[in-house]
Amino acid sequence: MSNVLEHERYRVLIVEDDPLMLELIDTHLSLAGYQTFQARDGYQGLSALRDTTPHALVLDINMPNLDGFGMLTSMRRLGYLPKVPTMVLTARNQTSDVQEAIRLGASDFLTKPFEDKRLLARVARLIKSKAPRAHAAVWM
Amino acid sequence: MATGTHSMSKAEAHPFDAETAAIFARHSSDILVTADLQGVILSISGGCRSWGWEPEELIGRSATSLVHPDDLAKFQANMAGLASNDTADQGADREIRYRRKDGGWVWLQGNPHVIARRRGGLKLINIFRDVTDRKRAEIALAESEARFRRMAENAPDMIAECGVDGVMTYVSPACLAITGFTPEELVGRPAASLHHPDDSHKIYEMCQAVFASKGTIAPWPVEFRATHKDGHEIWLECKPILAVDPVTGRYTGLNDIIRDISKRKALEVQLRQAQAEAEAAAAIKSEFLANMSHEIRTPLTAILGFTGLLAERPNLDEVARGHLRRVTTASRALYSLVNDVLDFSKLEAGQFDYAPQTVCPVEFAHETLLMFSPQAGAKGLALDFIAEGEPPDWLSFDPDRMRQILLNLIGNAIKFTGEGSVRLRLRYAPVEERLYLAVEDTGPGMAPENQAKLFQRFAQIDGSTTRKHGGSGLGLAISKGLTEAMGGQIGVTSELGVGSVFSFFIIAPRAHAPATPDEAAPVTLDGVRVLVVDDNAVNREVARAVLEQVGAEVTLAEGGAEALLVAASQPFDVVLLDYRMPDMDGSETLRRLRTSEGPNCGIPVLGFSADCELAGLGDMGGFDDFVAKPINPALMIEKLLTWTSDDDLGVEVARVERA
Repeated sequence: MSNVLEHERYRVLIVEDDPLMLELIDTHLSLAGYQTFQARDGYQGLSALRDTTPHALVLDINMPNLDGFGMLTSMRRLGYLPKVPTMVLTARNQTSDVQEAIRLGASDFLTKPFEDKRLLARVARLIKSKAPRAHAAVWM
Repeated sequence: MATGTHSMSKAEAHPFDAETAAIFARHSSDILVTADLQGVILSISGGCRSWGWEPEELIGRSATSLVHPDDLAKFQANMAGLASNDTADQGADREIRYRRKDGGWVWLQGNPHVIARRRGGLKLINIFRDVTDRKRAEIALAESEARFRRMAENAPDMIAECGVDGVMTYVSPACLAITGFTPEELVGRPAASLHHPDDSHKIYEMCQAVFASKGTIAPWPVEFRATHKDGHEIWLECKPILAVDPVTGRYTGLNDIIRDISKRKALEVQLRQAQAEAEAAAAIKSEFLANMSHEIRTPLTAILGFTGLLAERPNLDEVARGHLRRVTTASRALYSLVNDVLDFSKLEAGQFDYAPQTVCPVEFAHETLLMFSPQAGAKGLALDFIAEGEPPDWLSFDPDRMRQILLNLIGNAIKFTGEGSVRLRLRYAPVEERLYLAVEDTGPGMAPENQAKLFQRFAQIDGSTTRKHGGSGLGLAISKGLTEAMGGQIGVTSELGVGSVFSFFIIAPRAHAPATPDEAAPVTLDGVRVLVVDDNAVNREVARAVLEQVGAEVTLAEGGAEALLVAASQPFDVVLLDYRMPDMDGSETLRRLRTSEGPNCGIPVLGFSADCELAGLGDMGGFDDFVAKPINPALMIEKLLTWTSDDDLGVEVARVERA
């Protein structure tokens, strides 16, 4: 990927407190060609969201300080939802967590641990769900 | 003497003549005696022979000499009373024991009259009736009554009696210790006044049942609450007996032994609490295990993921590759260990997912065995498979669970067997619908005392086995849990130096042959979540069957409204939407889905249409694509694959320049 194309790549923000997991997701997405951004908790995530205006957000639920639910709630209040398609990561396959996240505006979920293929498919789906359609230019 | 005069005149007015009186005296079972006021017998009728005496033997004797010593005082008081002709003596106790000739005693009830003698003075005429039988019965009754009272007074239980009106007629003194009330305070009160209002119906119903059954139903103990005099609640247990008049059969009241069960109740409460606490602790432990396992799996995923990424790098030297392989192997081992713990804690928590499928048991078992060919080959072990009898072609069971058990048993057998063979034997019992499997090895075998420990969790025969052979020690415990969850049992027979046989069965009903797909589809929609919306049940089910065959997760909706509802709370990868539906048609459903804010507003929606009705729609009516009906499985899968394609989609999309 050349720097020339850098600005034309899809941007994905990853908000995850576990550094290993964060690095793993970042690596997979970077290798797949996405431009990635990292944040370690909900607060950092919100400021990164504002700064990077990503095409998709991968959001961990269980985080210190401001957790995924808190971030989703804030995103909605601040108008980032439903504009930024968001996929939440749950450590446990807790349907109640997933339901709550979706109620708060998340579009999808992925249970940890996950296969890299599935992560890529889900992120692609997230972006596809918004990008090619009329309301793609959400940030303008 | 006025009354004496009265008696005399009564005697003089006797309606019987002398002859009649004589006949009466001779034949009556009553005995007629005349005596003077000192008690000397003047005459006596022949009835005295029934006591052994001839009249002649008694005449002239003092009656005093015949009276039982214990009754002498009574006798003398009576005589004195008669002599003074005291009217107060009318009610006197004239039942007195007299001696029989044989030394025994008879109870005689006297009916004395004082009359004037012809020669002047007074004499007694006494008509005696033998009341020995009644007296004995009375005494027995009194004795039993006294015994009952003695028991009741000392019983730790509360003895109570009440009449038909439910009012207590007797309460034993134990009530003081139990209820705080004295017997006097309770007698005269309705028994129900003791019962807690919420419990009195239980007692009432029991009494009714016993009564209605006419006593064929025995009363059962009823526990009820009562209020102690000082206000605190006590627990009592009653088991009232209906008191029935033996002659009339009428119900006359209730007798009861009421037991104080407050302590037992308190103990029960404690026990329940302790049990609840123990269960809670066990649940916490299971949850902890499950959570920990998850927490461990997450970093492990990272390790495996990075190792995988690293291994794909082209410029690694052989040493690095070797190290990497070891890291991978160790991580995988750790991963499966953690999965074991997770499985086990799930089983223990009763979270057992059972997904039966139609499986060919022989093929399935044989293939599972053959998975071990490399390991067996490396150790020089033979792998044998024997299907006994003619097992059915198709059975219904959960192949994943079954495989888990087999992998564990066969894996163990290979692990512990140095030379010889590992044999898998299969048998089906059609009547019981049991599928039996046995794994036989020629390994070292086990002593009997070790065999019992095998299926316990975390048990390995000794610690060194863990170091030598690895494993969580949960494999057999999980296998046991799985077989039991599938209605079966597992066991082992073994002989030291000969080998071991692990055998188990599960319940596996016969099944019809599954519909075979046209060809083994290399395509997979593994994990793709499809929402199928169609008002036609057949279409829905066909779509589901086709899609699940290739691994898709299918959710069905019968109409637009239901589809929107489901889509609002659950993410999907693609929607198959029927165009023509009653109530809300496909176009309207699509429009609403697109304008919703739910998780699926932007996903691909494929029109599901029976004809070319969509051809004329401009811009495809907003649909991303179409799937034709009737369903052609291959075409449908291909379409879905196009819209959800897994592998390179991420890269593709990521690299597409934004419009």
